Amino acid sequence: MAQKYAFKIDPSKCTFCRACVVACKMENNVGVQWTRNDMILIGPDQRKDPAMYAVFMNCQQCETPACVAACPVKGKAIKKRDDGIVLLDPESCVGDELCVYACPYGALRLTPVKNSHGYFTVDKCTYCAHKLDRPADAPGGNRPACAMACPTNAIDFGLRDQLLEEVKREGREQFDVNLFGIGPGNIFLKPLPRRAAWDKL
Amino acid sequence: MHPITHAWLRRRKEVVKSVWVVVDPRMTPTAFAADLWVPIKPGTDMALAYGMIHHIITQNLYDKDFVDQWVEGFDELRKFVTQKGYTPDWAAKITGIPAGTITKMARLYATTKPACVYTNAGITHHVNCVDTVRVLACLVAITGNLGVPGGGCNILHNSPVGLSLPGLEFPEARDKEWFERTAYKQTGLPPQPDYFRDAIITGKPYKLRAVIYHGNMLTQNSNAEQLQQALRDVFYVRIGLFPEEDVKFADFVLPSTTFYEMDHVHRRIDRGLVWRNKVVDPVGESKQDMLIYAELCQTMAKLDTKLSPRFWSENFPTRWATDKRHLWNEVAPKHAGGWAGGMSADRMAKLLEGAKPGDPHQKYQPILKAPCPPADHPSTQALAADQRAPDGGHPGFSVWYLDHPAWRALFDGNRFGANKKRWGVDRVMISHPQYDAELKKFGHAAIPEFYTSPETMDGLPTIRVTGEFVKMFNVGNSPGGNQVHRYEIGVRPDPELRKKYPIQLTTGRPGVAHFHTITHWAPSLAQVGGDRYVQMHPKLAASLKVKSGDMVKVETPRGSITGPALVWDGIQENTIFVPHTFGEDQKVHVDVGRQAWESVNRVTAHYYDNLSGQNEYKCQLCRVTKV
Repeated sequence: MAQKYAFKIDPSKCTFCRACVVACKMENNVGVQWTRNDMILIGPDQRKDPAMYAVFMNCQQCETPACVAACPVKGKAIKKRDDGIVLLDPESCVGDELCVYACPYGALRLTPVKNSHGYFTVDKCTYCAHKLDRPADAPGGNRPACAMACPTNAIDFGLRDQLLEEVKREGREQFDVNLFGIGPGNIFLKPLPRRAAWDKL
Repeated sequence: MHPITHAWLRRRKEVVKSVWVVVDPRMTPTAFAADLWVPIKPGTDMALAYGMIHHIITQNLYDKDFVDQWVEGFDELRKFVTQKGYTPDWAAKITGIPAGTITKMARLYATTKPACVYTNAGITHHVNCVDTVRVLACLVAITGNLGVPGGGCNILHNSPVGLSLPGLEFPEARDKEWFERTAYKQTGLPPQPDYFRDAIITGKPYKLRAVIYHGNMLTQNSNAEQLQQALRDVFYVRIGLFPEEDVKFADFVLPSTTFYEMDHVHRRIDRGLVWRNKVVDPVGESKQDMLIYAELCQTMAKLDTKLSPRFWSENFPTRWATDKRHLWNEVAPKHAGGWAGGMSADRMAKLLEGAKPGDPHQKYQPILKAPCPPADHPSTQALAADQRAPDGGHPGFSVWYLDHPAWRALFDGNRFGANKKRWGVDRVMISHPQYDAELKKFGHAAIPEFYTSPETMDGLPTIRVTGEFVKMFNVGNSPGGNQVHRYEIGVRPDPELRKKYPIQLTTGRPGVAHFHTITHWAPSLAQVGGDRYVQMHPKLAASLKVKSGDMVKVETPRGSITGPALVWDGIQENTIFVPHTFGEDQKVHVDVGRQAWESVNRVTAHYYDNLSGQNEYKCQLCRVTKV
C-alpha cells in the first residue's frame, strides 16, 4: 500500500498567514479547541540569526502507521486505504487516546466531540479524502483545502512520485523525518539560505 | 507587512530574485523572508531615509535625467541635507543602525532599477508619519523609481475607503441660506480619529455633544482611561457587530452587518475598485451602515425644522443603500474627475459574474483600476511617467505626499479641481516656496527637519502643541473646513520622563489572523491568532530576571497592563512589543483556553500628528517589572 499522495512543504515560502489552518477548519468543520494541521516554528539559530521557520504539520499518512497499530478497537477504528490515506472512523472510536500518544508527529487530537456511543472521539487530517475523487473543475476544487488556501504554494499537494521528482529537479535538500522508521509520507524541504544575496553585494 | 501584499511580493521574489531589506524594530514574518533584517529604534525612520538621501546625493547616485525632467525642488533638498548634516553617521547614531549598513542600503537602492519601497503602519503609526512618508517619497523621486512597474513609494496604510460622496446640494433656498448663515462660518474639528475626546474634555474649539462611531474605540484608540472619561460626557451612538468594551458607554447601540451580508463597492490602495455581492441575508435587526444613514436622513427629513425635507432625502436617498447600482450610476461619473468613467455598473456586474467563488487565489477578481475613462478602456495597471490624461493633464504618481496636483485630481477631482496645476507646477513637488508657506502655517515645512515622538530613549527632537488653531483646507467632513493645532517642531522632550520610564514600548498587530477587534470574536481566528504577549530581547529580559512565560507588568504614566513575557532576540534591544486589538470583553479567548487581556491602549499616550490626525502608537516610554 504505497502512498499515492503527499504534501511538499517549503518553509522558505511560508508567510505565517495560517490560512491553511482556517481553511481546514471551514472545510472539515474542525472545532475551536483543536486543529488538524497547525504549524510548528523551527529555530531560531541564536548564534547567527533570530529568524524562525514555520513548518506545516498535518498527518503524515505513514507507510506503517503507529496509530493503526495502537488502536485497541476490534477491527480497528483507524484504517489505511489502498492509496495510503489513513482514515479514522469516529463512530468506532472509543476515545482512549492510545493513538494520540503513539503518533510521533502529534497528528491526532482528542476532541470534546462525542459519538453516538457516548465516547469522546479523536480527530485527524484526512488529506481531504472526500475531495480527491472529484473532477478538477468541481466547485471547491479537488485538492486539500489547506493546499488550495496557501497564497504562496508553501504547501504543495500532489502525487508523491511527481513531487519527489520535482524536488530532485530543483536540487532542493530534504529533512529526514523518518526517525521512527514508520515511513511518513510528507516531503519537508530544507529552507533556502537567507542572507546569501545581501552578503554577495 | 500586509499579508496579501506579502504573498504577492513573495511570489515575485521567487521569480525575479529580488533582494529584500526589512527595516523594523521587530523581526516579523516579512523579515524572516528577507535577505537582511535591520533592527531600528522605533520612530527614527525619517533619520534613516535622510541618511540614505545624503549618501545618494553626495555620491551622485541619483537619477539625473529623471530629476531634471520631473522633480521640482531637488536643489533645495540637496542644500537642506548638507546644511543640516543629515549624514549616514548622524543617522547611525539616531537609528542604531551601523553607518556601513545605511550606505550599503542607499547604494543598493539607488543602483537597482526598478526598486520599490513598501511601508505600512510601521511608518504611519507615528507622530511624524506625514513627514516620514514625504521624505521616503523624496528618496523614491530622486532615484527615478516613480511610475515604473516594480517601483514606487507604496504606502499601504490608510487606503482611501470606498467612494466619497459628491458635495452637498441645496434644493431649496432656505437650505442654502441656513448653510451660509451657520455651517459655512463654523470650522470643524481637526480631521483626527482621536481628537474628538479633546473637544469633549476641553471644549476647544467647541464642545462636542454627540458622537456616532463605528467600531470599538476603547481598544483601538490611545489612552483608553481618558477616552472613557470623555465618553461619559457625550451622547454616544455606537454602530458595530459585537458587544465590545465601549458598548457600556453608549446611549444607543445599533447592530450593523458584516461585509458578507451586504452588497458593496470598495476601493483598493492600488486605485482598483472591487464589487462584492452579499452572500447571506442580514441576521436579526442588523442593517448595513449605508442603510442606517439613509434611514437617519429620512427621519431627519420628517423632524428637521431648519432644513427642507428635500435637502435630506435628495442628498442621501435610500435607493443608494438598497441597490448599489443606483449609487454607482449616480456617484461614480462625478467621482475622481471622471477617471472612473469606464467602470459602468453593467461592466462591473459582468465582471462579477465571471468571478469564480471557489477560486482561492481570486485570479478573476472583479477589479478595474483607475484611470479607466472610456467604456471599453482596459483599465490601468501602473501609472507611467509620460502618460497623459484624456484632457492632456498629468496622471500623477502614487505619491500624493509629494503634493502632485494630478494625484489629487485622480481621486479628489471634486474637491481640488480636476487636473489643475497647483501653483503652476506640473511636476513631482519636493519643495516649492508656496507649498512651504502653506505647511509653515501648521508648523511643518516642505522639507521637514527630523523630529519624532515626545517619548524616546535618546531624547530626540520632538513636537509641542501650541494652543493656537489654524484653519486647514477642507478635508471633507466639515462644510466650512477644518482647523488644527499649530505645532512647534524640533523642541527638546522632558528629560525626567525617560529617567523614570527607560524602556521603549511599541505596539502592532498580533498576527495576520487579526484585524482590528472584530476577528477576536471569531473562535477559529482567536485560536490561531495567538496570545497577548510582551515581547522582549534576551538582554533586557536578563536584566529584569524574566524568563519566557513569566508575568510582567508594563507601566507608563497613563496606567499599567500585565501579560506573559516572550523572550526572543527578534527585537531591537531595550524595546518591548505588545500586540494591540485585544480587549477584556473578548470572551472568545476564554473559550479557546486563554485569558481575555486588557487592551494595550490603556497605557499608550495621546500624541497625534496635526496634518493627518494619526496617533502615536509605536514610540512610547514604559517601565517593566516582574509580577
